[in-house]
Amino acid sequence: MTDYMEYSPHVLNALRLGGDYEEALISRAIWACTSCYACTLYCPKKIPITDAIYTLKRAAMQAGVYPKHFVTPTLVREFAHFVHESGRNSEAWMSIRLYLKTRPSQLLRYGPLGLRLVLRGRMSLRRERIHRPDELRRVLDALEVNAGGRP
Amino acid sequence: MSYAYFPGCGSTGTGRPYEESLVAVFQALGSGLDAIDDWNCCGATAYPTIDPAQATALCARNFALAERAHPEAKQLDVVAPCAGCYRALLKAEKAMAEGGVLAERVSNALGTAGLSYDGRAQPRHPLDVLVNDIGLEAIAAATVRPLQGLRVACYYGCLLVRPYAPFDDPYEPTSMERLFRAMGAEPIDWPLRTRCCGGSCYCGGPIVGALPEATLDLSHTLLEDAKKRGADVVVTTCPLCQFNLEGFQSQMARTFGARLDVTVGFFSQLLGLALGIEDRKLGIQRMFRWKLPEQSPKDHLTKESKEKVVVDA
Amino acid sequence: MPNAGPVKVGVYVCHCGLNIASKVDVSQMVAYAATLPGVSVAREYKFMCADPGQELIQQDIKDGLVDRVVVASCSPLMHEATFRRATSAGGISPFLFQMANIREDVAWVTDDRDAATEKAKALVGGAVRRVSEHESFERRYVPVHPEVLVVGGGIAGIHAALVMAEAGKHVYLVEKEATIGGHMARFDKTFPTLDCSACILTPKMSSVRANPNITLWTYSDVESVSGFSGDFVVRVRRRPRYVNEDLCTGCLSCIDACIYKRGRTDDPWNEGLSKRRPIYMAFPQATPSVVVVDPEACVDFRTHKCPRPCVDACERNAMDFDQKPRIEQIKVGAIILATGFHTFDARRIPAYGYDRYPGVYTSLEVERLLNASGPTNGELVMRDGSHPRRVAIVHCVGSRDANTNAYCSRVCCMYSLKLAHLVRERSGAEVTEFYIDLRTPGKGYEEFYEKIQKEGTRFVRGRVAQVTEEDGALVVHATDTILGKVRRVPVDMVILAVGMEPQPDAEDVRRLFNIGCGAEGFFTERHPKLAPVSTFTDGIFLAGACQGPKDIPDTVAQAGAAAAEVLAMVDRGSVEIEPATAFIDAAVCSGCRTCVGMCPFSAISFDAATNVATVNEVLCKGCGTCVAACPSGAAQQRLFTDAEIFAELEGLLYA
Repeated sequence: MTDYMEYSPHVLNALRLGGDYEEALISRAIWACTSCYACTLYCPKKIPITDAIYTLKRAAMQAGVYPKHFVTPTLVREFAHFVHESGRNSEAWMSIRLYLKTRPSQLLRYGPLGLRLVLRGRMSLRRERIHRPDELRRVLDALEVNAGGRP
Repeated sequence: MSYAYFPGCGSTGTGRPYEESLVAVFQALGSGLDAIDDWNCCGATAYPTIDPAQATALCARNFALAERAHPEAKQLDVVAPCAGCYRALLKAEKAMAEGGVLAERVSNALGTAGLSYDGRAQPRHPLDVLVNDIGLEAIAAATVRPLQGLRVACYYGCLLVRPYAPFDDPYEPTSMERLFRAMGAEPIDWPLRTRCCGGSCYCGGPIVGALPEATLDLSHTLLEDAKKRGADVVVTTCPLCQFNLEGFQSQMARTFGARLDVTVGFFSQLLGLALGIEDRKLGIQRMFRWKLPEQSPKDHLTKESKEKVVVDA
Repeated sequence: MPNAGPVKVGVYVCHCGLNIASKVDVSQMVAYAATLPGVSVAREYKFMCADPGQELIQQDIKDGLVDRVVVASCSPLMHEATFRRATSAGGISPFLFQMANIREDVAWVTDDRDAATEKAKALVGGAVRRVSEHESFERRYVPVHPEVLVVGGGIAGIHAALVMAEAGKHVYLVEKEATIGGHMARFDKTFPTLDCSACILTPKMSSVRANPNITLWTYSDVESVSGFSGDFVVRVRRRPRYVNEDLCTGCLSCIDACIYKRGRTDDPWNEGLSKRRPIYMAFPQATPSVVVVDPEACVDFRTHKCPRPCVDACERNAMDFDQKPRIEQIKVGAIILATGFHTFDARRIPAYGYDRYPGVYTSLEVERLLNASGPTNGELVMRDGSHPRRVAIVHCVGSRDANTNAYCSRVCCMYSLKLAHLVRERSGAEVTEFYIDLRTPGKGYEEFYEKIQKEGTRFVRGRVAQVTEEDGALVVHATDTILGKVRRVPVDMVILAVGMEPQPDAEDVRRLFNIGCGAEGFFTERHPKLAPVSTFTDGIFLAGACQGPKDIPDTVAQAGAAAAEVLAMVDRGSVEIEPATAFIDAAVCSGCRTCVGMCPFSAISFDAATNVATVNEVLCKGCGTCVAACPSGAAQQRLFTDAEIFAELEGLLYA
């Protein structure tokens, strides 16, 4: 994904170390990372680069600085919202909420695809829930110290 | 032999055929998959972006529930088919095993809900279980419709082999190739088989992704290369990868020119076919596209053809 | 055995400039020491190791004030020898001396002045009580046999052998290949002078052959080593070449006559890029100039039906198919190990495509291609017969990487620059080098780099991630970290700058010679800065790449150094044995043999007739394992007897 990053992974690492922290936080590069871990595997110094980028992502979300047009942080928030409320992810509902919050036109664009999935039984329109969401919420809330992102 | 089973959120959605085919395959091979009662989402790649402790806790709750259901088991394998779930569970297991501040906080948090994780539950991928527990010989023996030189492109993707590679080589994995060779197929040599397809929550594919052009490019490169190497079908080990590679081929055609028309399935579906399980049980009707080269009808395995099936130890 | 009678201990506390004095209150210490029982004199001085300091000790002994010496200063590793000499110069046994380390063990590691002084006082108290128990023995010596063994006939072994032979010593040079010359004989040119490698090496090889003081045994291995410094017994196995070395003149008629007109087995000399015939000579200047028959490839060994035209062709009747391996047993006083290195196996990095794409080569393979006596007669021709127009050189293959070898292999940057020059000169191809850093520390090395830059070689600063194949070309993927962009450069040929590793049998070799090796497998020197050619096993020295990656200038320098240290040993004629060796009280020994197997230096032997174990004091390194293990207390150690140790503890805790 380096081609899509204005700062390649080793530059992000250098920014993080060298004190130009803000530049790394507001970059588009950190959001381009798909967390494929190839960098971590190949690194000759065994630097956990992917996890370092996760740290930058978390910091960016807490600080509320990320490029406005980036869908990803909103996706992360929505995901967390669903899991916190119901313990599971509902792909259909999450996608719909995401589009409504960011790019409503995408609903039209990908609507047909979504329908195809529903018709083939590969997209459930149910709200997925676990039986004891309060149990899960208690666990998550007990760790709520400086978690960023959840609405 | 029954395994504790973690379905993952994809199992009711895009990954439904994966679950269906996996359950059918395990059954045919004499093993069961028992879903963990009241399992919750593993957090995928989204929760690590929120808080590592909460991400660990999500997985730890599943382990705790599995352990509670099997108090007597000294070691409990939890089979997680989705590579994303698999990695998340592995990471949580390692974080808890390491001890330290995070492990302690998570343990305490679990405790507030009356849960505890002793470290007995261990995540395992079904590919690992099939190749290393059930074994290639048993699978070859159970093969009823050998794949007759079908050229299979085995796609591992990222999270199955990185950053943890507990059961295969992270640079040059061979588990799937050995599996399919045992069923008579001819897996292609594919250097790109561990290259990212962009399907994770990050790129989330063109549907929920922030960089749709990037994802499309990554997936297109993979499919084009597989096709160039003569693959008849691409098989995957993750619902996100599978959907990413299968679902946008028309968009790829519009952006890059040529139509690819590549059949992309789950490895368990192809395995199920070889084991003689019928299409419907493997969720094949749910795929957008399923076209395999003509195979000569061979309902019963003769002695000679059984010998032709090569088991690559 | 505790000493009877009152002792007169002299305590000397060193300031070591400010090293000790800035943390430890030396005056307080001296005052304290004077109160200790047995102490007759307590002094302080700024630099005890300097002449005036040593004079203090000597004078006090000569004046009869002192008959035991304690010096509180630095580590024994630094100056124990110095003060023992001073004690001895005063007229008493050098072993009636004990050192208290109040620098490395106190001043350099304690923050608080008071705590430091208390600790130093305790250490001195311990030393004083202990030295009172010391026995007076004299230094012991064993003679050194004047002949020397050099293992390995590369440039390191050759140079060391020549230096020692010139000094009049008889040298056995044992080499496992059929010819000496090592890796250097296979290179094309050497950096930074671009000398032809064989041209500068072969004169030395001829000198070795011609020198009457050198016994050259090639195609031979060391089979066993026993004995000890000054008196090693070595068995060398000389493998059969099936050619009488004394008769063969190297005319090569036998090779021409062989029924196989073309090569049959992979030629390791050419890194497998060509095949060699069953009867061969590695290269035209092989030394000795004698052919070799490969019993695995020669069909006669399997079928016994070959008409053996080689035998007929030989005018000197030198062929001898009945030749058997011979064992030679020699006695030498010192051994130099110069067994060289092996290149990193590039297959361990699948991402670079070695062994998958025929256009990917290792640097050593390319050296052979460029070499005029190589498989392509010096022309840069690839496996498929084509001439590359674009070449990539990948640095740090297998080196500086936690996944393979963490160390930097030192020579690869320089040889990569050299290869860039040679490739451009020989073929006119465009060369791009992909590097992380460019390490050019030697004399003329940075200037060489500049020359290569000016000639037009391109440089991309970025570690190569992978090599793939697209549309018939090899594509090198690397981030150009200066530009901040990923580059995907299509080339025809990729050269991997593989690092240096120890020889695959280094572990076996080190056990054979009883020396240590580091985590990466290179042989361990006695001290990385101050004793780079000796080992912890007396009498065994190291030279060249077997001790660590290095280039030819450093190798030759190290070989000369090893030769010099050997000459010092041999000319001195004797070696001193360390006094703190173990000994076994025969009266107490019960013959349980626990100690025999425990000894890491194989220094204990057991006599079944008398049922008693004995320690060979020359081999014994005084590690104390047998002493601790002996259930009956028969095994004891000089300078570390129970009485001495308990005395020291008492002094530390209660004095």
